[in-house]
Amino acid sequence: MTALTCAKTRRRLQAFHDCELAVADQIAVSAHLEWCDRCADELSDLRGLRSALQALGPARPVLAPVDAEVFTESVVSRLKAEDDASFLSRVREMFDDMHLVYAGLGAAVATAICIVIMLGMMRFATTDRPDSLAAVMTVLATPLECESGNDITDASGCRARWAERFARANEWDEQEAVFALEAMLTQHGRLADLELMRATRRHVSSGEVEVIEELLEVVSRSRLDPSLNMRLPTAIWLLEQTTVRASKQPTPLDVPLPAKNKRASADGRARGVRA
Amino acid sequence: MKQARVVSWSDVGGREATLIQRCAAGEESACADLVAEHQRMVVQLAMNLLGDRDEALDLSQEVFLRVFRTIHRFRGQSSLRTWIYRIAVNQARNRHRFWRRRHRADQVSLDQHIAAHGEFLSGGETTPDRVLAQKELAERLQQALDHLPFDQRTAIVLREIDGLSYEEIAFSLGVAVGTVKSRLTRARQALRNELREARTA
Repeated sequence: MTALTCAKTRRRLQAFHDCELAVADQIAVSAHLEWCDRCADELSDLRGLRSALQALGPARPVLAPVDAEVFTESVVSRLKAEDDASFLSRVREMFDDMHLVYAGLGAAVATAICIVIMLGMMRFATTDRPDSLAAVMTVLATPLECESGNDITDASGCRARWAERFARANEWDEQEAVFALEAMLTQHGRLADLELMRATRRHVSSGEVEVIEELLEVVSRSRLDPSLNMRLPTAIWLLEQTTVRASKQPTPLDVPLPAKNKRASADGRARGVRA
Repeated sequence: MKQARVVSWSDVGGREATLIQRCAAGEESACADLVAEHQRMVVQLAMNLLGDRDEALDLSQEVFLRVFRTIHRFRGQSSLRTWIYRIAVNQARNRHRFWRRRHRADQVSLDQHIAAHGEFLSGGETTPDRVLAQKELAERLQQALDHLPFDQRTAIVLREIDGLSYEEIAFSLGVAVGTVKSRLTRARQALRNELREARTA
């Protein structure tokens, strides 16, 4: 074991004084203190400080036995009273630190707002478009009832059901085409020339124009041949709608003229009479 | 996979463990026993840390109430005594902060006190009585102790007066052992300087 220098001993002196050194260090410091007076004085200082501090205790008023008994009783009675405290007082104690209350209230309000927004979105959200990719995939992925069986007699019925589903998925596209056509009708008061519709292609897609062309063809054929069996329900719907709206459209002569235009209308009538 | 820490009551004796369980169950007699057993220690520590008897008694009551409120969470990670010390130190630290905020203006520095009341050991006596000298020395040391920063004062009181080990002090203060050592070194240096000055005076 190597002898410690004064510097090393001083570094270990407080731990030695507190009996916190390892045994080997404890022995080494003891050995050094035997011959080094300066380090021994240092240790003596530390011991003097400890005894002075420990002497402070009795100088202070210590809890007398009677006081100790009173103290114990008061603690126990306070504890009992606390246990018996009403729920209200416990809640009030919880609200002592208002920082926690504010944080809790903020979190609760934020949660409530999020729930309201989510419910609103769910309430006002539109349903999936039937012609969307997801809807088409759903239709295509739906197995037909006749796929697994070998019943050939029912194959035509299966195909019909599948075609019905597919038509339902494409219904939206047809409705849009009808809407575009209806817009052209209301704008010009009659079936518009398809060239005009193609010119305004920015509002109408090419697919819709094709559908409209087909519809118009069905309409014209049905007018020429009323006995034609129309298979497209949309064409029937279009015929009904256009016919009804055309019949309801008021003629310009039925509209009463305003007072200030009476003279002009009279002139027109005179001109008409002269003609 | 890392195993969860197993709760051990190795540091807590059988009698103490029973006492804790009875206190956690709300037995009044057990609570009274626990208070009677540790009150002197808590009151003494509170007086050394706060320097006022009434404050110390009030704080000690708060400490025991806190102990009984949280005793069901005690898992024997230290001895009960060290755990109570930890609560006492935390409560004293809170009260010290509050007191310092409220009574900052009322504090009188040691120099001001000496200027107003004179040096304790100075005077015309050629051979002062030894007991009186010791008493004055103790008063001066007490004032120096009161003027130490709270963390240093707590460390030196727990070590020199209450005799806690470095590890127990570290647990009570919630700091590392190295921090305890450095606080003790600074506190001792300040107090030794004060003692030297008093002795030379």
